[in-house]
Amino acid sequence: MIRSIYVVVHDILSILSRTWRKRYSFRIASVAMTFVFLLAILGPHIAPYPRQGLGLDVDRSRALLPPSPEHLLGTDSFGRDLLSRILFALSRALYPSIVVAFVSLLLGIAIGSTATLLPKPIEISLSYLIELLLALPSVLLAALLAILMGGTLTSIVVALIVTWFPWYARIAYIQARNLKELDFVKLPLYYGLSKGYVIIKHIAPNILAPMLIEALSDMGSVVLEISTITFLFGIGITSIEEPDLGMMIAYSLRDLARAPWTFLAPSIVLATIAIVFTVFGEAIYEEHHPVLKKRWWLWF
Amino acid sequence: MVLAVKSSKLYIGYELDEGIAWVVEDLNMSIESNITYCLIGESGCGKSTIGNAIAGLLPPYAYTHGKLIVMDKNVIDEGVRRFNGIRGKIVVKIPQDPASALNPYMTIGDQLDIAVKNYFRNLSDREVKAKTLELLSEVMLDREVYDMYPHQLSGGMKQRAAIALALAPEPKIIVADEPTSSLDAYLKHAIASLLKKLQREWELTMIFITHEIPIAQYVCNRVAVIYAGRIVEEGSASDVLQNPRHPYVELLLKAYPKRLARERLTDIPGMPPPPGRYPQGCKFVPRCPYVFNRCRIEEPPLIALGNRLIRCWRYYE
Amino acid sequence: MNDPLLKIEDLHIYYVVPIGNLKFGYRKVWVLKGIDLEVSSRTVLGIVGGSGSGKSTILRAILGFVKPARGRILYQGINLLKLKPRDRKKIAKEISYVPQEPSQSINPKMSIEDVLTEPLKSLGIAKSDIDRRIDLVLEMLDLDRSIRKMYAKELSGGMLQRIAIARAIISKPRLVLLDEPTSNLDISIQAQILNMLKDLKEELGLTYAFVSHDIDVVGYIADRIAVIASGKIVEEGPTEEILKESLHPYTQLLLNPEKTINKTTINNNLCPITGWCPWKTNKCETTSPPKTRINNRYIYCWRYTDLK
Repeated sequence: MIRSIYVVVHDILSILSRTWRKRYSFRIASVAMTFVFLLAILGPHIAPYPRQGLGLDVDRSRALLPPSPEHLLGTDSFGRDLLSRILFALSRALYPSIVVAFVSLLLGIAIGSTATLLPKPIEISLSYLIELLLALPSVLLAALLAILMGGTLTSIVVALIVTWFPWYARIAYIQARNLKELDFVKLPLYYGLSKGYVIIKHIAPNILAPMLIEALSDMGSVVLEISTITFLFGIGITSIEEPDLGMMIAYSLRDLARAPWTFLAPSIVLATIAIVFTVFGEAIYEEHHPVLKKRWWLWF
Repeated sequence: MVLAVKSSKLYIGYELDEGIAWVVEDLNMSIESNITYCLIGESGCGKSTIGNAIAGLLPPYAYTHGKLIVMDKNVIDEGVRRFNGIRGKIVVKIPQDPASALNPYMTIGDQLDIAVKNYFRNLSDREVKAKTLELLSEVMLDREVYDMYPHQLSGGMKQRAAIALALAPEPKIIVADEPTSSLDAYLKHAIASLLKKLQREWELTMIFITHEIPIAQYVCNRVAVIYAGRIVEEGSASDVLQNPRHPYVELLLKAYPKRLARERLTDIPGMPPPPGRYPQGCKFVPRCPYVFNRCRIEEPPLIALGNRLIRCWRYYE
Repeated sequence: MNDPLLKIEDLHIYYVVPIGNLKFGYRKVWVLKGIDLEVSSRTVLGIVGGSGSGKSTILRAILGFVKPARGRILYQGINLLKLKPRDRKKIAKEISYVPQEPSQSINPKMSIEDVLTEPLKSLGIAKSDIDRRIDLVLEMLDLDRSIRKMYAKELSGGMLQRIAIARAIISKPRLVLLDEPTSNLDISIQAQILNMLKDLKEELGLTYAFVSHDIDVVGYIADRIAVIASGKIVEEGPTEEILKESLHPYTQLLLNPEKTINKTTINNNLCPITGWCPWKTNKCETTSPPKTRINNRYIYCWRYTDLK
């Protein structure tokens, strides 16, 4: 078991280092990503106005001030320092997205890889179920679940997991199905070893590494989705004081002409997160898939 | 004697993570026209790379040094490769896997028509079809194949269709990269003899790349044995394959199971060196039964020995 | 040994192929159309045929990877097709498999040590014994101990194939099924592997069923040869007899391809070579020739049946 983990970690590191050596875009993206993570962790501690960041202090007299040495990004309509707000919002955005990405990944791999070893009727029903779930729109589902569960962050996370895991499940299912035909999967079954052993020792290690990296890259999209949901429906937060990128953008629209920085700051941050994570994933995908690598433009 | 292909100090390498791996080093090869010339070697020895270089099919990310002249044109000159007008017209390649030469979504007839029309633009549609049917009969395929799709053909028929496709531009040189390796035993000879017949009738230069010595013996006039990206022995097929001088060739011939002989096969211990990481001195040193000191220090040059060329210190006076 | 170790009777196998992109349903493609074979203990049976002849399918049927439509496979008298699940493990210990392509039969993400331990996992053997056995098989296959910690993707084809053979013998089997073990290897490495296989057979008293498309490779290692074409055996007998004076035209085609270069159609009729057989009669097209015995040999050809 430990050896399987070692192999997967080794695989991931070799993919990452190879892409690092080959592509500038990857280097920029990964440095930016690490920076984002660092800010998310340290943010609440280095914010200049922590109480304002959390929304506890409200000072309407200082509302909508443009960027200045005291407030590097200006203040919002409640007089709260925008920089602090964003720093708090970052961690609030990233932690749920980590949960969504990796729980969906595990769930997807578990379901996708076991599906191939189950009896035919169950396998077929599972694959239809996965296809069905893939068709559901995440944003609307989140709204529905919010009604059912009460609009908390948990309901958003659950809704997103339900709509994300089929994506991984399908990939895992197809890969597992191809692997199942190979002799090194048929032989342990012939020896009489259990299907669980085959999944953990043979199927999972061969599909995990690229999927883990994909999950990491997908985090950017998840952050975007969470922000979309909070932007549109205002759910997922317990009070308007809590810092959330989506909410901040929603509220800034009212004062857009007067105080554009209230819109620009959170939007640029959100866009940057999405772009950086996506570039990270794309660079690895291109490097990993031989058709696209080796300076393809030279062929034209 | 007209030389179809001549290479002079040719180096071919590929980019690896740690730098450039030179697969072919200091290749000086002369191939006359109108013969069947075999490149024999095992996997990883560079014979396919040489074939690709002659056919103009080296990928853009390959590196080259030295010169390669095909039909009096300098196609490779140091780092510059110029194959316009040569690639696909004067030199064609038949790949190892026939399925990769044929478009699975088009009938054989359509593909051949396009090829013929491309090179003979002044022909009417009927004339193009006539030419295609002629090509099909040259490779001994029935008329019905014209309307069939590649997946409906057997392996041998696909290979013949790939050969017909290669003949469409009426080339002067054909590079056949292991054309018989993926075929069954009885088809190998059929395709090999077809290629030989075509070489004679069309007066082509056939560069036949293979790792199967019995087929080479059956088909080739001259043979060059490649090991670690260089020629180790070159001469007429009967000379080299029946009386080999180089230790590698000698051992290779002994490694084949002989019919009705139950004595132990001679195997060559060890493995060929990986491309780009060739050791110093003669590249066969780790596996050679006749090795002596000079072999380890210096690589032997290719010298003439009677009618053949050989790269081995044992024959150096 | 009077009773053969392995006996295959009237084996028929088909697989389904969709007609016209599933619009018109399925049709059956018969891969094996009535195979009868026997392998005696401590001998090598070589099965030679072209691609698509069904030779690999015979081995896969013995292993249970495909289910036959008809027929029996008897190992020491026990019908393998009607095994109870708990007996399967015992049979798996005795019958092992060396597949054709080592990169597909060895998990690239597993260490060699794990690869070799796997066949013994369900047999309840003590760890120290497993360790000893691994060292023993590595030595038998001329591999250094240090390879234990390496991973499959770091090794060449020849070494991987040796690991596959090591894995096959580590459970101390009686019967080893080899599916074209040397076809993907260079000729110099093929010689190494064939020599090793011969030595192992003698040392360990193994029985081999060796499948190949190369009649000379089979001729080197087998005691008896069975020639298969289009799902049917056409000739079977002692190696020397088959190589020196083969009776069936298809065998002659395999032995001397350059003399018979225009005969390249193998069809799916009752006798696979009716397209070009020089002695073809009407009977050949309508009825399948029965198994005829000539001295120590079996042949499936009306010409020989009628001569008797």
